[in-house]
Amino acid sequence: MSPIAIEAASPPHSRSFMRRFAGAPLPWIMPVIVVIGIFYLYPVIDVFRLSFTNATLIGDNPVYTLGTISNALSSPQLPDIMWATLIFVGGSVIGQQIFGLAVAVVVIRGEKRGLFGTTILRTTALVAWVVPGIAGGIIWQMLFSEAPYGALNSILRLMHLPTVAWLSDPAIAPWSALISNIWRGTAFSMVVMYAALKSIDPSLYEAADVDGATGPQQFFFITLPQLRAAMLVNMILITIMTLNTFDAIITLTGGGPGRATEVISLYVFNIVFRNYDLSGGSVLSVLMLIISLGLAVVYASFLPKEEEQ
Amino acid sequence: MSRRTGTRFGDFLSYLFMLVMFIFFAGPLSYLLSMAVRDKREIYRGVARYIPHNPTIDNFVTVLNNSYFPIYLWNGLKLAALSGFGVLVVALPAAYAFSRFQFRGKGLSMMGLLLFQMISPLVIMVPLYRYMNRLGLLDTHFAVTMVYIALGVPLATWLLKSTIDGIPRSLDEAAMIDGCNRFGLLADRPAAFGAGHCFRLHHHRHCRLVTIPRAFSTADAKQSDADRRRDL
Repeated sequence: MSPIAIEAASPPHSRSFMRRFAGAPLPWIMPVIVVIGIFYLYPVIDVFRLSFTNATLIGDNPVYTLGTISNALSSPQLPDIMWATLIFVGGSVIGQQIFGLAVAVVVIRGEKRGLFGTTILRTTALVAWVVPGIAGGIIWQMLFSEAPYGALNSILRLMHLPTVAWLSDPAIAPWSALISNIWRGTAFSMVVMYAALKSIDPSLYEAADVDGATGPQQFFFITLPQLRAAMLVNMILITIMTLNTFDAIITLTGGGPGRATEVISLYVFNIVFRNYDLSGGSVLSVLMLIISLGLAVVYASFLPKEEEQ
Repeated sequence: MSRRTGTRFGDFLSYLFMLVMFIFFAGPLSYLLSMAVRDKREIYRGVARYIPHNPTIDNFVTVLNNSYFPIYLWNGLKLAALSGFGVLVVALPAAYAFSRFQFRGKGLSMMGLLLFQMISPLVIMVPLYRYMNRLGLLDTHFAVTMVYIALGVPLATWLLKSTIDGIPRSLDEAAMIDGCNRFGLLADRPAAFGAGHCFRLHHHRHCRLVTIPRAFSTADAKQSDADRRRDL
């Protein structure tokens, strides 16, 4: 039935009711509120509650206790985990931001000058981005592998250089994991930076040209300040995405050697689904939540205020 | 150094950088392809057989002939399609409201949505595992789909909102004059997004089906601009 027919068929009072109902935002937003409430809000509240218990995945009658929190936070593994997380997340944010910006700048310059291959580069980066985390881990496992089929080591052997224990040396493995994550994540930064660069007012550059500013000067005094908001948002997003990444690490190193590449999300996964320690995992989940919220607040405080823009 | 040689040098550096980045991005992917078409002996030769001497598609045949493979594929497609559709059903009305209505706390609720996007799926997976266990929904497609929908909703609402922002309001108004009241749009949800087409296809008051593809096609800004100009 067409909307007109519905309207014509309904008596006047119900029509006005409908109109009022349809004009209010709440009914439209209700589905989102219900879904978020059930699948986000309640679980988050439950995570907080569980972190005050000694619940496990198998046992049933959990008792409220503060012991879990102190146990989880005083665990001797935690500093190592946090260090691995810092390298992985911090390195990814810096690396992806710098590479993404560099690729975007060069691609835009190339497009302006009509250079060959800008589209090819962009497309290849995006292909690396759409590779799922698990597959990305497997691809880099093949490259880093110390077995005869490992690509990097067989290149080194061809050049008669000593091979590197990419994944089995605890001092090198975190950096290998970092490289694989930068490979996968750079395209996202590139897209964000590309859009931000395109939206910079070209008249700024024209004015700078008239004033005789050199290329590097234009980059540091026009491009970077204009990109500040986009870069901060991009860094918030990378931080959150990387903090939550554990699928790529599971297939790449499984957290090893030892615990060298066990980031906090993988640690939570292992605690809950391997050790069945629900409450310990909840404590660390809360910790993760605090870290990402805290970092987001820090980044946001650097965002330019409305009047500055 | 003259300006012209400077530009030439810049082009050279650009090409060099692009080449290095291309190798960084494409190298792993091409090595994956190279491994996929090797036979068992050549696998162990590393990059020395980057281009295999005896390329083979046996590996593909083996994988595709795995009797479970169609099931995996079907599961993946089914879950993706169902959750994509579910996300749309949940997020579209909210996105429409965020785009078209003025109300108190709008900006705040939009930010709130983003805040939920920040929560790691891992964090909520722990309690969800317990609920699903208690409800007997573990190992069901229904549970997985619902979780996927929930995870996709915040971002989808933001994306759809900015897309609907791009559909001119005057088309909405014209559609309403033509008899598409808001409740009608709510009852026949796609109609809201077909408002523009409602206007164009006067005689065709059903105005459904058109907008979902439209809402997504506008992800490509150029495309949507062209659309809009045609509509006007």
